[in-house]
Amino acid sequence: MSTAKGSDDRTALDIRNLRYFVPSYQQPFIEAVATQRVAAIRKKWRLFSKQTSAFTSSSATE
Amino acid sequence: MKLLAIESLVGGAGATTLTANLAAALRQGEQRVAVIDCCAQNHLAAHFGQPLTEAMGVFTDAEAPKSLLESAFISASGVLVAPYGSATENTQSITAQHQQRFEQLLQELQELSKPRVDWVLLNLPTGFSFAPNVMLPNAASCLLVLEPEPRCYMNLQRWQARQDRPEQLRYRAIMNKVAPHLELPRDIFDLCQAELDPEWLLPLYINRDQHIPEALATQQLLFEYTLGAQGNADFAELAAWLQASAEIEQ
Repeated sequence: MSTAKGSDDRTALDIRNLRYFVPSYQQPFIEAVATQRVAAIRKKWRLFSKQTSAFTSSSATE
Repeated sequence: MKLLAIESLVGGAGATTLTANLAAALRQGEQRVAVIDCCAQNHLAAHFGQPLTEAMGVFTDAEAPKSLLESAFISASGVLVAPYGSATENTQSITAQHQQRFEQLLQELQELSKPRVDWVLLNLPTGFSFAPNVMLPNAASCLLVLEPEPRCYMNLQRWQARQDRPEQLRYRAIMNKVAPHLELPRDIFDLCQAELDPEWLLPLYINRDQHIPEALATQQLLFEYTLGAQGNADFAELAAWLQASAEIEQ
C-alpha cells in the first residue's frame, strides 16, 4: 500500500477533512490575527498610534 | 563583480558587524569577497583582527595614495579588507578627494586578477547615501539595516516621507537584532512586518545574539568565535539569499 504524502486511503476522515479545511482558512486567519495584533500594538504604545504613523499602505493597518 | 552597500538607518543598528560577518558567510560559500570601510569610525577592520593602533587604511593616505593591496590586507578568513584608516578631523564629510579615491578603489578591484573579487561590500556611515555628492555608482544596491527599536521606527517614517531619496540607488532593508522575547522589540518587529512593503523588507532577519558582540570583543568574526551561535545561521541565510537574488548587478 502506498504511504506517499497526500495519499488519503489510510487517513482518518477527520484528518482528511482538516487537510482541506486548514489551508483554505489559514491565510484569512493569519490576516485577521495580524490586524488585531497591529491594533493592539497601536493602542499600547503612543508612538505607534495611527495619528502619528506615516505608514498607511498596508491593509493590516486598517 | 557585485557591489552591495550596507548602511544603517540609525547609529548602532549593526551595519558594520553585519558587513563583516556577511563577508565571511559569502566567503564560506566559496565567493571571493572584498570589504571597503567608508565609515570614519574605522571599526570594520577590528572584526577581522586588525590592531586598534593600526593607522593603515585606504582613505587616510589621500596625500600620497598607495595601491589598494598596499593599504588593504587579507584576513584569516580569506576576505580582502580595506580599512578606512585612522580618522582625521574632516573625515565626516565626503570630500572630492574621498570620491576620487573611492572610484580609484573600485577600478582597482575590477582589475584585480589575483585575488579576483566576486563581491564588494561597502560599509557606509549612517545617512551616507543621502549626501548630495554620494559616490555610489548608478543602480547600486544598498541594504538598509533596521533595528526593532523606537528611534529606528521614527527614522524609518522620516525616511519613507523624504522626497530627496537618491533615485539611482536600489534600497532594500533587513531587520537586525530581532528579539521576540522582549516586548517592545517584538511589537516593533511585528508592526514593521505589517506596515512595510514585503518587496522592500527582506523576508529574513538577523536575531539578537549576544555571541555577536562577544565575537567583536575577541576581535574575531562570529564563526571564528563560536560555531554554536544563531547568528551564523542568520548570516549564512542572508548570504545565500543575496547569491540567489538577481537584483544585485554584476
